[in-house]
Amino acid sequence: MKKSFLPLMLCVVGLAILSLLPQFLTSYYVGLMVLVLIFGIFALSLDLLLGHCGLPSLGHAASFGTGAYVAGILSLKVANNFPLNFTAALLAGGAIAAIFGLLVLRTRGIYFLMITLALSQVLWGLAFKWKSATGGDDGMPGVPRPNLGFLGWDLTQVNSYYYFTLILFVLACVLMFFLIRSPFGHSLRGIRESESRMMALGYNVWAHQYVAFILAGLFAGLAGLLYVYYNNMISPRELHLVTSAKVLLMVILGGTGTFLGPILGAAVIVLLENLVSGFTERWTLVLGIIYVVVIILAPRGLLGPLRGKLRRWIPM
Amino acid sequence: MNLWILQALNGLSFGMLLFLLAAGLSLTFGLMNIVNLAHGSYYLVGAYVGLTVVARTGNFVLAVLAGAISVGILGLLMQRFLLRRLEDHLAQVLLTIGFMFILGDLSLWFWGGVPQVIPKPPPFDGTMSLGDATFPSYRLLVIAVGIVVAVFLWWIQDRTAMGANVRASVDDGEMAGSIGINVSMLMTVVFGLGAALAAMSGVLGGGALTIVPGADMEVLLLALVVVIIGGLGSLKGAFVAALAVGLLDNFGKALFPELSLFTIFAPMAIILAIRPTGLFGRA
Amino acid sequence: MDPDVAPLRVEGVSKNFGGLQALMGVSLTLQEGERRAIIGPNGAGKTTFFHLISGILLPSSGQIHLFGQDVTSKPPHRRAALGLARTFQINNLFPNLTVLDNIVLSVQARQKSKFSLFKPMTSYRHVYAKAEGFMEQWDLADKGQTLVRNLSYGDQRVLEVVMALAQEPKLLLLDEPTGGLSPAETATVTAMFKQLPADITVLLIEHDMDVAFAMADRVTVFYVGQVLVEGSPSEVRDNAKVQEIYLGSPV
Repeated sequence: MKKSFLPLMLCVVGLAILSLLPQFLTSYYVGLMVLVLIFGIFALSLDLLLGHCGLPSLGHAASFGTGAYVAGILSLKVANNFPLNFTAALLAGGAIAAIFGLLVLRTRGIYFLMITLALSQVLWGLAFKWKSATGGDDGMPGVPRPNLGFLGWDLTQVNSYYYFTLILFVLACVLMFFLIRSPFGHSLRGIRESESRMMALGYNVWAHQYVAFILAGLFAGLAGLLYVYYNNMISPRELHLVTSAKVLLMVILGGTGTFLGPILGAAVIVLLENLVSGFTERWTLVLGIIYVVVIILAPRGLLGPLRGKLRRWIPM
Repeated sequence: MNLWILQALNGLSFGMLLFLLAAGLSLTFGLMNIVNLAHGSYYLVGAYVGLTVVARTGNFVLAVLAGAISVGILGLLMQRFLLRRLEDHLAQVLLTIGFMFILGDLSLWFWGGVPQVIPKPPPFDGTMSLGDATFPSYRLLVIAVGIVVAVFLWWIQDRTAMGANVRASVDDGEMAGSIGINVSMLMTVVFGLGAALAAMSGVLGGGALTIVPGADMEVLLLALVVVIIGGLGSLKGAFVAALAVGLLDNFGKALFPELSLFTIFAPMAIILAIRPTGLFGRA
Repeated sequence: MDPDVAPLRVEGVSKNFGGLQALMGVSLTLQEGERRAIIGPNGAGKTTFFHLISGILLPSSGQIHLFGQDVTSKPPHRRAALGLARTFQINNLFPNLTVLDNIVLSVQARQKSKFSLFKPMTSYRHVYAKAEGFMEQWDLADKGQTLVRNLSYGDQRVLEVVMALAQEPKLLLLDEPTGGLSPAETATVTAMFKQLPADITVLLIEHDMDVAFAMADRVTVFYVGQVLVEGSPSEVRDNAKVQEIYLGSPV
């Protein structure tokens, strides 16, 4: 197999562009790019489940929101100790996935979708009602940016926070890419195609799905903590069905299993939301219409037609 | 003791509302293998339509009919022209998410975000006394309507030709088609019926609970919990689970206001652990 | 031979689905290296029997032993670990993966590398070498990069068998391997069969009686969920009861 340097070069060019963006964009747009990167991680994490494992989760906000809440609450109520809060938030995202995974992995397909939705909404309800712990529907404002003083880095400026997020984004992408290229990733795709065949070959299908579920939760927790630090505010919206549905749309719009697709989908939805919200209050209506249009007209996503070509470099 | 009876009656009436909602969800799944996530939106739109009709005409019965019929037709059209274009069941469910957003936002646009209530129709706008406790008689109306609808649905399912056709189509759609049952039209009709029931639940609910944006997702969650516990595709399961969830939710709110959702979460988790297809669901 | 290490020992196995009794008191033991065919009319319970052996279904009663181990309630992947492989009556492949990737997954199943989370799959050269070897052996080499859903039915049926062979099993279950194949394709599969290593034990469900009798040392006849007759091909062919169920009356 001839090794092509083209994909690597494209990645380097892409990274260069992303690194130079703050030089050319106003702080408003840099802020938007931060959101693109954050939701890019979030969408990639869902794609691990949906695109690579065939598990359609409509409750992925559970891990995202839990990561956000844990990071936010620790920063506000305990201490702005970044290494501690980072680790705790990540693990919290994974822990919620570990707990929910035990229940949801007894189902598949539409049942799975329904149950992930229900469990995640219950979690939302908990955050919404438990005013004393979570601030209820008002949430908790005033979450400070991570204290990276020990590195000499001030994250209160949007450009700094952008680079901080970019580093973690690249790290997440690299890890995710290795994961989907690994034998484990290969096995997940086999499971997506035929669980019974994988079992007959000798794979413990449940164990693979459970691990994938937890890994997806860890990455979503990362996205959640980056989000809460960016927003300087915790709110139950991060746990809500709307968030789960939005990230699901991002993955489908971009193209499931294509690695670049979810990131592209995240960019499109984040930018559209901001654009549309600028001149109308009817963003939710627009989101619903996009949903209907994408599912009926372009279910394989924007990168769908390129799947054949992408397959050479990206396992899918 | 009277307090418990009060809470139980409250829970039962809420349960009946949930049954009207869940019945449609369950029937739709049984026949079409999809879960309509816009079901909560049908509830909300029905409630708003009912609200408008009562405001214009003062006639509660008309409001219920208007809500049920208008949303029923809406559901029918959605199924016939959009859902039916897709083969994949998962894709159909995703489509209903889009509907949920569209209907939710359109309702907000049309009727605004101020919480509203439908005025209770006389003679049910008063209270009845049970011992020393007073109880809104409206809730009894809701319970009565729920029972009537439950019996009516059971009668359709078990005693009519249409019910037999539905049961045949659920069992084996291809066979049913080959013996002359118009399965496709049946699906559209059942879908519309489910929507109408949800809207009815909305109008009735509007008399006791506030109609407000966000109610659609709140009732959707409860309806999903009901079908998860009761089992998809089973009317009996929807009835039993709806009453159980109604009671649990009510007692939960009364006893642990901050953690009330746990009283629903616990039985749902237990069912998922022991019998994932629900109490009376198809395996 | 010591019955405790028979590749397959099924004792008094029954399976009912609600009211339907699919299998009743079926017993069957295979010797190492044996080629056994199971024949019988549709609905006789043959594929259900395979599902019980491979673990997709659990028996209502009875026991199943693989290589001396009681696997009656063990999940399919544990049985595969003991050396069991099977094909499916309806092709059960990975449609959106390439032929090569399909076989790689089969080969990888027995490797420790399958637990790796971070090293690229492609770095495990020995897995790919083995997979490519199987493709060469069974004439699929030029279709390695083809997606399985784009393969012809005949090639898919061949791949279905190759997937099982790539597991390097000690006990192989073939469920109607020639189903739906043209005479030429049937001949290919029969040839594949003849090339199987002598120490693999094979249990085969076949609809085509000529193929079954040609490939098997012994034949078991299933009828309405029970074992009707068991013997050598000629014994079974001459058996009056067998002729009756296939032809409707004694010949």
